Amino acid sequence: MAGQPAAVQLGPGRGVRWRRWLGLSVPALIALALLVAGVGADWLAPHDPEFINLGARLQPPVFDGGSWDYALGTDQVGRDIFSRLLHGARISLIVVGIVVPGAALIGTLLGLISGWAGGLIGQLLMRLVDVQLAMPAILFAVLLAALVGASLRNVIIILLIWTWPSYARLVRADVLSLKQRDFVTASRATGAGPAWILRKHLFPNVVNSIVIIMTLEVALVILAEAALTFLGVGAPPGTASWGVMISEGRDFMSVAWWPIWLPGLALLTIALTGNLMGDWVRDALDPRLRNLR
Amino acid sequence: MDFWNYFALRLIQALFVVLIVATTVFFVSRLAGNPESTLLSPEQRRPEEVERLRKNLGLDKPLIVQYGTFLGNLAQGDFGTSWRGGGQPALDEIGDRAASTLKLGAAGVVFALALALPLGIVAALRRGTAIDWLSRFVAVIGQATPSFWLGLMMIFFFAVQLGWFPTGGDEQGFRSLILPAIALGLFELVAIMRLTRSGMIEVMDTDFIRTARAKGLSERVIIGRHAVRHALLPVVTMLGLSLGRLIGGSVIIEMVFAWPGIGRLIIDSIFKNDFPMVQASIIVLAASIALVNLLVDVSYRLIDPRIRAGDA
Repeated sequence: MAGQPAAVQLGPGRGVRWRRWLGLSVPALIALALLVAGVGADWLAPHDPEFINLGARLQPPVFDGGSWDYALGTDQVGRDIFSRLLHGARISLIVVGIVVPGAALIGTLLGLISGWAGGLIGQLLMRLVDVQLAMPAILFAVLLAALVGASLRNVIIILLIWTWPSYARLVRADVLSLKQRDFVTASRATGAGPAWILRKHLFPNVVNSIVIIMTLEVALVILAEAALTFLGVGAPPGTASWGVMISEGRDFMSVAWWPIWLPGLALLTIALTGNLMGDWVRDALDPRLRNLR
Repeated sequence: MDFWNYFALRLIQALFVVLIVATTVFFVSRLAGNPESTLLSPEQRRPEEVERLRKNLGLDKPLIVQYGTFLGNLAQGDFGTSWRGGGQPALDEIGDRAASTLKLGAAGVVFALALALPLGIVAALRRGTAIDWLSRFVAVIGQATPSFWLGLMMIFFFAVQLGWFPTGGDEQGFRSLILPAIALGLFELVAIMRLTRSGMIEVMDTDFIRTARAKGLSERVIIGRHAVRHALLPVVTMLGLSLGRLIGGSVIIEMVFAWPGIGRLIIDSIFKNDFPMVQASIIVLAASIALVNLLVDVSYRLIDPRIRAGDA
């Protein structure tokens, strides 16, 4: 065909596309690696993560003069750090896998109900959010741990209590404005019940926001779990969890850098990955929420 | 709704929040509290001694009666007596510790503001330059760094290896404050910087800045007097509401740096089973956070009459 115009560039330029692709694929690869590490820890770990070998205490990593027996070195009682990191990834995955969907579910339900019902129920739920905001969750966590003992389960409960309000507040605000819109009024006028409206009209309109918060919360939850464990509220000492590794490595910090650096770097990398993917999802789904946090 | 009605409503809401927190803390500590392990030495722990102690502390009465007494005392400003030490009112120690935490929190915010504002403003004005790139790098890394780990690393490098700062405590005044303030402020720094940057980018595109330019004002006046002011509004909002987060964050920083603040007091008291102290300090904390949130809300209404308190 003659006279076809020269290629008109419509989308973003090549450099931008390249960077976008890199911005998604690198974090996605790291996330995949975390998944593989967590799920396959039993097969991938060269040593038992809790096996104490006092003869091999504080062996340096292979790139710092160590041997391939312990590629990332050993800790103060001779446990293999690489194996512990893999099993620690599993703990982080379990926590994220329960807390993020769980909090999203609770927060969304309560936000939908309180936004739709308004009035007394709405007020009550919002006061519940206030209570949660006024009581530093971390203190409540320690208190609960003193009551029922430190365990992974308690950390999960605490993190659920800690994170549901962000969903509830956003969903409630969205619902409050959505229910004034014409399509909802029209649906009501044709005799639709509240359950129908919630499911067909309100939920589809808030689901994007929920997914965005969920992805952004992944990093937050992983960091919070490590912090609580560091305080002695989470998985008990000796467990292969990143928080435990940091708190135990602390006492040997001036003798050996790796027991505390490696889990810290693992945490930082995963949190970074979570944030980058969260930003990507947010930009893809709803760029208006750019300033969400 | 006129202002005073609104104020009264918000005050009642805040009191309600404190009441719920107080109730939760009361019942949780009653379930966990075990005074004989704290107050009696093992040889003293004979049944009749324990019985007498429980009677003295009022723990033999039904739970609901204890709860009533607790609320009654609270209403009269009696926050209970620590189970340790010479039986001083719990509030005495809380005052000192809270002041210490406030000092740390303020230092953290000052550190965050001092870096975040210039970085955010320059990054917005010079988009795509090295400074912008640096600010984004700081944001991405800062948001992903576990604060307790950062604290430990700083202790290791700047206190243990270099000896520039003490490894913990607050005995050395300003020098003791620097490392914990940085560890605590990093997260706020990132939040403030992002808000400043996006606010500045937005405002530089508005009509009133175009007008100021058209009037021939110097770039300095445009940015300093018009743009920055506007861009900082959301920052002020966020700072007002960040108190809860700061206190939560300072708990762990206080543990890492052995800082004698209220967070550490609560955690120590929990581990030592000193439940009156735990109750009193958590209630004081919750009340102060609720109060600040109330003041922020109320001051908006005073500053900006367009905000109506419909469904906040």
